[in-house]
Amino acid sequence: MKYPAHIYAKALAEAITAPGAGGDVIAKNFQALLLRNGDEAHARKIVEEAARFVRGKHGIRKVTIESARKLGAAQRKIVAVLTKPGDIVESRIDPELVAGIRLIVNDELQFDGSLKGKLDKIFEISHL
Amino acid sequence: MAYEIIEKLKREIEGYKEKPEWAEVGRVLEVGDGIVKITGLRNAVSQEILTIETPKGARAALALSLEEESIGALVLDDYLAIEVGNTVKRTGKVLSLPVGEELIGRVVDPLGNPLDGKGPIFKTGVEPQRNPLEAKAPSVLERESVNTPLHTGLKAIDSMIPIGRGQRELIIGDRQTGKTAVALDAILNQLNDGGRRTPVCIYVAIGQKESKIVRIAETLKKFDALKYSIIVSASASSPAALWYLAPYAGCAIGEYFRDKGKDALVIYDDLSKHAWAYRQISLLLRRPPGREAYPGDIFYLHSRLLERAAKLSKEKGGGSLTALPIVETQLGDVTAYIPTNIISITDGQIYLESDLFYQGLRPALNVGISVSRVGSAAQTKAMKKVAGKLRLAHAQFRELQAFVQFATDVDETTKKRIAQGQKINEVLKQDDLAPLPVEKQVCIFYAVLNNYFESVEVADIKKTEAGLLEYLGRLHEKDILAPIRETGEFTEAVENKLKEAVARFLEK
Repeated sequence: MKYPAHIYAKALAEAITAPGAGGDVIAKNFQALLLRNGDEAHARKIVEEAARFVRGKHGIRKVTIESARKLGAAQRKIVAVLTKPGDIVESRIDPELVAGIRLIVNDELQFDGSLKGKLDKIFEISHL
Repeated sequence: MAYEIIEKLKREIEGYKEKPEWAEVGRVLEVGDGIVKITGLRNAVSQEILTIETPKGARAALALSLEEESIGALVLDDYLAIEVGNTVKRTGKVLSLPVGEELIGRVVDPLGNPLDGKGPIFKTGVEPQRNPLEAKAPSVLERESVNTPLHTGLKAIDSMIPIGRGQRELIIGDRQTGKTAVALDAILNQLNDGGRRTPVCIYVAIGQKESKIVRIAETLKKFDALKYSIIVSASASSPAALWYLAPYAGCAIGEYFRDKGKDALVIYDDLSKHAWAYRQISLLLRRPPGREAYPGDIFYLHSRLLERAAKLSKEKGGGSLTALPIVETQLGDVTAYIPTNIISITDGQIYLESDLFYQGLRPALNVGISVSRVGSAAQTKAMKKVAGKLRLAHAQFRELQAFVQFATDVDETTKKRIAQGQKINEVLKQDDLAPLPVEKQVCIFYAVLNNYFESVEVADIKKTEAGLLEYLGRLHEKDILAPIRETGEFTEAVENKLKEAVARFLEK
């Protein structure tokens, strides 16, 4: 990589949040820049990182909700209480969780209320 | 019966209470060759154990590089199960291993798991003490000077390069020069060293062939030395992570005994391979390479390990941890990066030379550049008194030997000196796995340095030596050998008795 991912990401985030910035033009130019530098393989990582910068700058949270099956009305209500307006909410179905939900905030904090998490904790055998 | 077990388990599961909490998590960014890059986990600390949740179960990793945007971690389990995007959690624990008396006689891996097939090391239900692999070395106030000898049973070493308990003495030489043999003899000799506490000996095998490790374990067992020894094995087939951790694990075990007021001896075989493993890890973590592609902190890697060897003060229990690191040189080059680093860290070095080895001088010790910087303070008075002039006599002989190769006419005194030198050389030769108790060494050196072997042919020296030792052991155990062994002194009375005994033996 010509530059580290976080440097690219910071530049992209600052360009995109600048007043009067044209999103399409910036995206095209950024793509061209990555191609020129031979760093197109890392595009996804850079964009994710840039999104994190933007969210951090504007105090927006990304909340990922993982559940074993589609959430019912009652569960959706609980989730609505936990999130606030402006949060980016993503839902994912992961049958491996067996039951319950898992909440992940900004990819950095996790609340594991799944049955799988509880079982893992019971049978946790650590040799270290 | 099955019903009862199921009911019991049910009761336990029903009674299980768990408080769900928010936990810090990260994600695997990259994985390969036992290294993972992780994003997130901003509060993770260096040397912290991280848990990676993979589809095949949890895998442990050790946080090594804390960077601005990511963490570089060393996978301690099977890394092939880890995938990009796996969740990583903190444990809040630093790497440690269970320690205790139960480890004695066992072969373990650097994480403390048994490898000898003898079952669990610690009784179930008993939580053993855990020592961190990375620990702070004792401070100046907690230490005292090295003052007790640690006899290796090798005449050349105990007489000229004495080692004390708490010392760090490097064993250095090319491949196949007998480095491990010296260390092994030192372990075996602890049984002979009567009157002193037997140290717990920890042999740390780093990147050694499994067959060699088995051979060493068998040898220790055969000579009844496994009852005070522990083997920490990170064999050639283990991942670099275990090679890197092995010396620290050995040291943590040694520290357990040191802190209990006991003596321990730890042998790192060898630190060149340890440096290779660390170089591999560092390059994979993309740390900038320095000289010979080693990372910048390679000196600190070894200095912080060897600083933990110490003789503790009486207030701290008076225990000791002696370190015998081994370093392999390439074509005798002691000026390479790792050898010079470790030479400067340790309190002396035992240099073994290929040429001497092939000349039949075994142990192939180069007396000229071998040195012990602190051990002489710990040498027994008897040995100091008898062998004090040995190093000088040996050096003079080597010089004369070089000179007479060109001289045609040599005077009588020089001839005598050369003959005596040749006899000293013969006496210094010693078979593998045959360490000699220090009191017997004293008697032999007394005889050879005081010209009692003048009339004996060089070729007959070994035979005469064996005969004299057998004679002294049979007839003078109580009046000569026991007093030297018990008091460590060579009194005038003992000297007179030894003079008479040697004269009587040679008359025969």
